[in-house]
Amino acid sequence: MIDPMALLTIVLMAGVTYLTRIGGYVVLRNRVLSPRATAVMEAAPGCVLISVIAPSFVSRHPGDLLALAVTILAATRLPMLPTVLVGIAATGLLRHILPL
Amino acid sequence: MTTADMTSSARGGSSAELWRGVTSCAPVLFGTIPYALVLGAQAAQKGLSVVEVPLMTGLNFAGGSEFAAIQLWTSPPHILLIVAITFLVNSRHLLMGAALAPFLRELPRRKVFPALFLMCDESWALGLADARRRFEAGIFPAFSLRYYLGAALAMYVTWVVFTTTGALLGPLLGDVQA
Repeated sequence: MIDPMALLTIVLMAGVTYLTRIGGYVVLRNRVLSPRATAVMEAAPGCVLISVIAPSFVSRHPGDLLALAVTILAATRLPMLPTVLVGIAATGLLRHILPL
Repeated sequence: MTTADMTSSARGGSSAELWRGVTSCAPVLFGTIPYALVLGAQAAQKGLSVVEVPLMTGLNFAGGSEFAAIQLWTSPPHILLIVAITFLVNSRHLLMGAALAPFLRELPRRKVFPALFLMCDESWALGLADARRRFEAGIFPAFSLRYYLGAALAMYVTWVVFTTTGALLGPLLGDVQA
């Protein structure tokens, strides 16, 4: 059920992942940041989120791109839950209607 | 969520804050479930067992790196390659933790270190946005640990349960592509 090499890989993955999670806090915990550094830190969240989601926007499938447009439109008008539902439904439907 | 809601739930005690975190995370959970199922199914295809899948998703708990690891998975796995890729994919956490750090100053380390184990894109974004709103509204402390934990635990349980479900159902579904 558990292969020793798989277990070792998983434990090491978990270890480096935890280090990335605590790293920023450990380094900045007792620092007072300059206004410039504070401005960078305030801009960071938006940049991180865009870099997380942007790769999903790169698609050759016309259905995906249309669904993305529909979802963006929904996001500008609706709260989050309806937006997510519209996004999922639009992607499923458009992928079905428009085969690659 | 209005300021009045936030203040009343802040007074409403710990379980109210926890629940506020769970409910604000709910829309995100819907979006996560399909990815979790696909990851579990792909992992099963690569030969990971139904025990190894929740072990990975429960200990590592970082979806992007897990998709990358499964793509690279061989038997036996190339440990160094997979660990290095995991670090690269998750290095964004360094910046995320740094952005959150000013809000965590009031909390003792014995609470912060376990809480950071659960920091994923979603719980971080919700927790940080909530802390900024509360700060603007003059609520102290700005960062609500319970709200963050509510969102983070909801993500954690969903991720582990549905990746495991994917691993169980994967062989029944056939070839799965994201």
